[in-house]
Amino acid sequence: MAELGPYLIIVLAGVIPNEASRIAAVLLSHRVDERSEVFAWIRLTATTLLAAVVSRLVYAPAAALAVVPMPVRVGAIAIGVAAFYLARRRLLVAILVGEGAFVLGAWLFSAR
Amino acid sequence: MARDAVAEGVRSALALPAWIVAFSFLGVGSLARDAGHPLGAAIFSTFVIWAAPAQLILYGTLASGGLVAAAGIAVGLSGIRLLPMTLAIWPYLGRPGQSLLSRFLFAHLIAATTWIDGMRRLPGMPAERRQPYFLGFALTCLTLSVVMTLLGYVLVGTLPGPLAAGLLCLTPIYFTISLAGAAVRVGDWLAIGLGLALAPVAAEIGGGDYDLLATGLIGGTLAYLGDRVFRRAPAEA
Repeated sequence: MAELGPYLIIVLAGVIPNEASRIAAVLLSHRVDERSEVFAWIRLTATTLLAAVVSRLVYAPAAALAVVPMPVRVGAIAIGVAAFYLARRRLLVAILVGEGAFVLGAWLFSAR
Repeated sequence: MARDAVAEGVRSALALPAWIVAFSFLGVGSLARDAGHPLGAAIFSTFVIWAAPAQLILYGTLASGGLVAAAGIAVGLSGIRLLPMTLAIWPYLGRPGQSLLSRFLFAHLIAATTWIDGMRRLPGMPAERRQPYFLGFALTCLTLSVVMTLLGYVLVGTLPGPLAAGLLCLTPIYFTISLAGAAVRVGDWLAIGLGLALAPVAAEIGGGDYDLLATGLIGGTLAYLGDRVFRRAPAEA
């Protein structure tokens, strides 16, 4: 049943842990204090996790991305972040600028 | 009228938010392929998880050789942010006498994009328009995101080198900017900085199984402690 494997992984490691929070919220009758210290810790841990995954995708990337030199990968992200602030926090503009910088850099500097 | 409220939700989603969120799923689709999952599973994941960060953590962990259990714990931690979000929006979204299944389905549609719009628009809306408006908005976002998941998956295999690489780099670019944009406190910046800096270190010394999860737990705790120290500083009133 190898073809069912990915679906099983998505349900076990994706749907169940993720949906648990939505379901718990619906079932909880009383308010949970979202300003509590535990929530502050969870929120920061989740932010760190996301940043860690981003870092991993850039540091040890997929094959198609690995042919693009590290400075191009990191530089494009830095340009995207800079564009976000220069474009008055417009997300779409910033992403397009970062992507544009990346594709240009990839085209110029990729190992062939 | 309900149909009219649904249409209003669809329109406001298409005005911009649905496109932005769908963009992140373009990256999710390409990652799913990289993790070796079939196209059907990638689309399935967007429908049933409907949280780009969770999918990113899931596929990122799997692609880097992490254990399914580690991925599940990490996804659960990232999903907890949905708990206070759902609680906060529920007074505007729940209806008295609503069945449990219907409540779960509405709760499932709560994600960052639908939450932000809902919190802004629903309170000022007549109660009977809220659910249809939210359905129109959320299902538009979800549909577009599913299409983009498919597109990302297919394109990363067919586009020429630099463009395929660009698709794989879309996720890091998108989420780094989003994280920076959402950061308000010292702790947020510490969390972002520690996550970015510690992940490669953890990969080198830990390697594989639990290192992303460990990075999140250690970095998140340090960020939390740093935030507490800063909060005690007299500068903050």
